[in-house]
Amino acid sequence: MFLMTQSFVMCENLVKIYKVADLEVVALQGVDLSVEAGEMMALVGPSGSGKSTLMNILGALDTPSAGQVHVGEHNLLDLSRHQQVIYRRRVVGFVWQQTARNLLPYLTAQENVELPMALNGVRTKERRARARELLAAVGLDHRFAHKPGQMSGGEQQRVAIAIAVANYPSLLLADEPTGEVDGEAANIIFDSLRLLNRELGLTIIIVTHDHNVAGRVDRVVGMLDGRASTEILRTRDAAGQALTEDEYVLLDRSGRIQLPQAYIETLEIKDRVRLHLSIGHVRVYPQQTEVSGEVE
Amino acid sequence: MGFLPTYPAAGDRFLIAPSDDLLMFLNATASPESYYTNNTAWLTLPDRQMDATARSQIEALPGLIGISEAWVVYNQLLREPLPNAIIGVLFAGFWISLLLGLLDFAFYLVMTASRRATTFAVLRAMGLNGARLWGLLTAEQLTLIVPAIGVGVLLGALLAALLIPFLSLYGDEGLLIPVGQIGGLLLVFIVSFTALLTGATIALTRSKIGQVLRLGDE
Repeated sequence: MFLMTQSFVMCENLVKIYKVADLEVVALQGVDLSVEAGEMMALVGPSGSGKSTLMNILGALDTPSAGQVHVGEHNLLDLSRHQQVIYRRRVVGFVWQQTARNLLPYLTAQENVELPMALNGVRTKERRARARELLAAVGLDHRFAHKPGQMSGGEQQRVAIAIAVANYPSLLLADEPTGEVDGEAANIIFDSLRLLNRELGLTIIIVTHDHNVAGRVDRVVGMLDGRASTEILRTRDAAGQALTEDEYVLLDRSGRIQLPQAYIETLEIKDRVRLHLSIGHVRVYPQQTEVSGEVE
Repeated sequence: MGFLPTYPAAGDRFLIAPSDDLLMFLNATASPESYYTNNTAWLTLPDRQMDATARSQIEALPGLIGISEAWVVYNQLLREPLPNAIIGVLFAGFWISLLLGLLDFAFYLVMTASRRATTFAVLRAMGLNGARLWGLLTAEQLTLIVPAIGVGVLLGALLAALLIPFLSLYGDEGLLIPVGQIGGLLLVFIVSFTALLTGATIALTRSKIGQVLRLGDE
């Protein structure tokens, strides 16, 4: 049961283990993450850090090996095959990096946007009107009858955004939506996402390597080795200019943190650290450092 | 020429020869309009049975070459090796064509499933379920197969009308359509077609969308 106090997206100790031949690959090692309804956030991290695996799980494209994951009122571990289909149809929308994965090449932009609505049983007249409305909202009202091959990469991604929100989803998952387009197109795509977030209250999670995109959202969660490790929170003024930016290291429910790699390298930390409890903070020292046991 | 009711006396002019050889000799200069042949009389018998009295009376007729019953002749024709071989080859052709067609279709489905796996995965991510996927594949295939069957039937009928008279399988007998065989053929086709499409659908819906789209390859 979805509690009103609960975050819209809740991942608790999420583990995903893939079996490749005889090897087990741990893609997620106990991810804790919560995202509020209407939030627009970015997931960043190096290759293999588990970002896309987490997106697959949130999109019901994959199931976790252990842990808990809720999106709205849906417990994704309890969904039957049929419920997964309905969830993908109505609750979540996807935008993928490769434009070819978002659009069917033999359909026009309008037909592509109509497709998820057709799968959801929306009547022809209604879905035609909504497809046109959505394409206009992403600035493509002159491209209704164009096929993907006749559009630029940026335009294709904007059609993909229109497709993703066609069935009024509550959650939009965008995996590197600006990964294959130039800077100008990336800005337009981001603006489209921002517009949907503000106008429709859509919760958006963007996986990105693009610093520009990561720099324009108010919350950036960094993933490392299958865990959420860092978080940047920003506050902005009414014009959208960042006022403050704070970077945090995430503490999981077991009390674990991941130190930033740069700190580890600078202090030449190997296997162990010394912790020193002080008033209002905890100090972390390399193993070789002598520390007095006094509390300051 | 005729048949002598009694054995000729000395001094009579006559010739004794096998009738087939004699006909061959007499027809050496024959034409389609004018030729010699044995007289044939077909009798309609009650219950299609010839009683012993009638048989003995006919056998007593002078110059009789033989008595044949129609069904015996018909069965002899049925046992003729050439028509049977032709019909056998035609039916074998039907079944082999069906088998090859189904193998080709299975291969095509496998290729389709692998080549279009990404498209189907995208559609599944949008909420396409197994039943709709089956319907999509079926509609796609039917748009190709139904016209192909129509063209095949028309061509087959045309070829049958053109070629079968030249085969002279059973004289003047009309073209028989083996409804049962065709029905069986169609049944096998429909069942196999459905099974193959269902197999392809199950394979596509069992595949993991994330893996097909390589969403984990960060």
